[in-house]
Amino acid sequence: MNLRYISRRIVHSILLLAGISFFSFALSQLAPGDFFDEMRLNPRISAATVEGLRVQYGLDRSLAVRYAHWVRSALRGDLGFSLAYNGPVGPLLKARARNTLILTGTATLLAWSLAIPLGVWGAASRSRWSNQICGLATSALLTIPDLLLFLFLLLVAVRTGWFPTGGMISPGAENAGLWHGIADLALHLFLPSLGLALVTLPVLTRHIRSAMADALNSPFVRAARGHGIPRTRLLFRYAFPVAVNPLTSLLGFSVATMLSASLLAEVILSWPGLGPLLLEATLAKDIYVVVGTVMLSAVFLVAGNLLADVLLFATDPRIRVE
Amino acid sequence: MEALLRIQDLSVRYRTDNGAIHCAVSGATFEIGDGEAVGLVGESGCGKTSLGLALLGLHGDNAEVTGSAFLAGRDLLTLDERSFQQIRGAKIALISQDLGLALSPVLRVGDQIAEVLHAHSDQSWNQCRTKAASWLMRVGLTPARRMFSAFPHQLSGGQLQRVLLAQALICRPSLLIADEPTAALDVRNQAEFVALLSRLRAEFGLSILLISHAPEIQARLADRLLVMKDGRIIEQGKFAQIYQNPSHPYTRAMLWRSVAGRPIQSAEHHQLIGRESLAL
Amino acid sequence: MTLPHNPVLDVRNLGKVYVQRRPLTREKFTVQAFENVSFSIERGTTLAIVGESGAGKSSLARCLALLETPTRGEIWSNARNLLAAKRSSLRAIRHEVQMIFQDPASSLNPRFNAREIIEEPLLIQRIGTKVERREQALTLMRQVGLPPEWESRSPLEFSGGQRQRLAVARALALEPKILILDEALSNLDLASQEIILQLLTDLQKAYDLTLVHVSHDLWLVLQVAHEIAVMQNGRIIEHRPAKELFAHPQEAHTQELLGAMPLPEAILERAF
Repeated sequence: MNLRYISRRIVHSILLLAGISFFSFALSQLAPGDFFDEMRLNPRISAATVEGLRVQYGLDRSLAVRYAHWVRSALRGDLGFSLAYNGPVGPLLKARARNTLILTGTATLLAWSLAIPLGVWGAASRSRWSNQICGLATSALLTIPDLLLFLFLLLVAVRTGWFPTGGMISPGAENAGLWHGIADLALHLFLPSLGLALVTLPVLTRHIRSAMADALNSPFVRAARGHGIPRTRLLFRYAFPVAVNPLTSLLGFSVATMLSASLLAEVILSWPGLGPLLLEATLAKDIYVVVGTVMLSAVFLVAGNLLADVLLFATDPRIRVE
Repeated sequence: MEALLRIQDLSVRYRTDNGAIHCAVSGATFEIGDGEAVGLVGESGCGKTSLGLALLGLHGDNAEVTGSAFLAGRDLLTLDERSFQQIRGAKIALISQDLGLALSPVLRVGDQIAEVLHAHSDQSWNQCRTKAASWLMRVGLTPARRMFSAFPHQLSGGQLQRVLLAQALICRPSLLIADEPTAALDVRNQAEFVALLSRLRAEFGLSILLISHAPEIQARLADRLLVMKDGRIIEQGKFAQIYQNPSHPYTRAMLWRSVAGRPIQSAEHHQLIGRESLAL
Repeated sequence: MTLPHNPVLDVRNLGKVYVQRRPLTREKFTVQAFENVSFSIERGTTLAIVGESGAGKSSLARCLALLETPTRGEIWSNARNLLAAKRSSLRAIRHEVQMIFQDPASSLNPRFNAREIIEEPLLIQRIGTKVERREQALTLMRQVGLPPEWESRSPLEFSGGQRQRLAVARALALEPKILILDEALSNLDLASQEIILQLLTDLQKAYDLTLVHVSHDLWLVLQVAHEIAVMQNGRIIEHRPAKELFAHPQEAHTQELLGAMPLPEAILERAF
């Protein structure tokens, strides 16, 4: 991989992010009203006070001016000002983003660890009933609305008491020592990441299964079989490495979809990530937080795609060695 | 002397999607001796490939194979998948014309040759790789180091065919089934491949079943010839005899580029212009 | 026998360069397929273009068939430079050059039946009514030696030779002046080759059809070509009447090609 390629990608990414920032900024202005709407409804606060606040926070300026200020703030690391939390958006996002990453990272790992064996088994097994079961299970999972699934998990937590019903760590856990802290985190992490994994599992499994089935039917696998290569070796040394190729692009995409699904998971299972923050800020019209969160998601997406490209380059000799 | 391969009344029937039964090979009976090269000619789609596939158990689930095929006393057609897996590549090897499609695009060519040896012997992986490298030299692919670590898309058609040959022969099988091995190659590569195959055959005492529609290839390699029409073997015998004196018009059509009812002789080519003269 | 000078195609200084980009860095690099190709083909004759793989034959064939655009040079037909013509006028004469490909299995759409495959070009050009098109398709089937009763069969049910005959029928639907065969007979057994060669000869006589065979099989080419052009590394190194080329090949490469695959009788003679 060389410098020229990397610098090209970086420039493209920056342009993309700049474009996204402008559009999300502009679009968020389309919603009627602003942060101080609630305040206006309160009869004890005069209209003049509200106007004064608006001017103070610069909400009366034009779109272009506000965008310019925001960009300046963004480059400083503040990413604007949160009206609700009364502080810069940047640090607010940092902690939340970390939590979301922990969740989506674990969920991605879990989803792929389940999808790969299921997909490979589905493609390799020649019995009809295994294909039926695989198809049925994935269809079932697909048709269940995400909302229901997360609510169900919440129900499990409440009814059985095996898992905490929300949050990321128990109070006092920070002081209890490293292993205890990790175990505590894992306990909290389990249900949300399981839910997220289950939501993305069906599509992943189907893709893996069809990529493996294609690879198993390809001429070179048949030729290798003709040379007497045993079945398990055919599966893992011949079919799988070729099936992996379309899957690396899928990895980039799955990171992106995982992010949008995580919003729901975080809100319902009370995981302190970007999701609840975004929801809150959108409802309160805390615009800079909204824009900041959207930008962060865009960064994750771009990083995910870059990761997918790098993986593809590393795993496919046809691209790497010409 | 007991023949290496003795085929008796072999038939391959395919069941098509709409339930019809299509007979690809019908009652084939012939022998291949030790170190003998037997050619097989016939119209495309008449069952030649099915014959080769049936001998290795590669014919797929919708085919029905009857008859017997004795290899060193054992009937191949009674074997189960596991036993077939031990025979494929080790006792009988198959190469076809697919070239680039027959190799994995993400594995190095040398490793793919080593895999075949590794599947059939107890040697360590490294030993297999060393043997594979020496086979690359045997088939004329040098420098061996660079060829070993090349990927299929980096090699030309002629080079790929040699790799496939190395794969087929690394376990020293007794029989090589070559299904149109030169169809995808140009003239020069064809000639080189034929020379290589000839040499290796002499060196290892290899028997060959050569399926090829090019009479020039058959002339160079085949001792005996089988002529197949609609799944049946209608003529068999020594190549020279059949070529000079074919008993069926079909055989003539399969073997002769003809002019005036006889095969073109090299000496008269310069008198010929286009088809007008040929239509005499 | 001398024919009046009547070139159906006059190729001047044709060259084709493929520009590709390296996968990740997107650096451009060029591959020269062929260059400095010049020849003319007389109407109603057969030209064979021979050479090794990678010599540029197929690229040249595709440029002649107007499937690809050469990067340099001119193709003159009917006192007109086809490469300089406007797209609209080109569309009107595109049908004059038809191509038949090497692999009939992949060039014929298996979802269509035989009749539909032949009718397709007529349909696209909006020629005739439905009934007329069917009539024409059946006539063409008869002409190439396929029984008209097979009109509803899928090309998958045909043998290799029969598929190529179907491809010829389709190519003839638009009454072309030039037919280009790109290794079209290489995968067929001799008998099928013979049948198609005879068919093409008959068509050539009947319609003054010009044929261009691109092939690496010299013995095949010997049976049909009036003139032969030998390509090596993207250039035509020798272009002469077939008779002369075989009798007295000038270039070393040509001699190599001729000597590489001797006829069976020569091989058999040597053996005894």
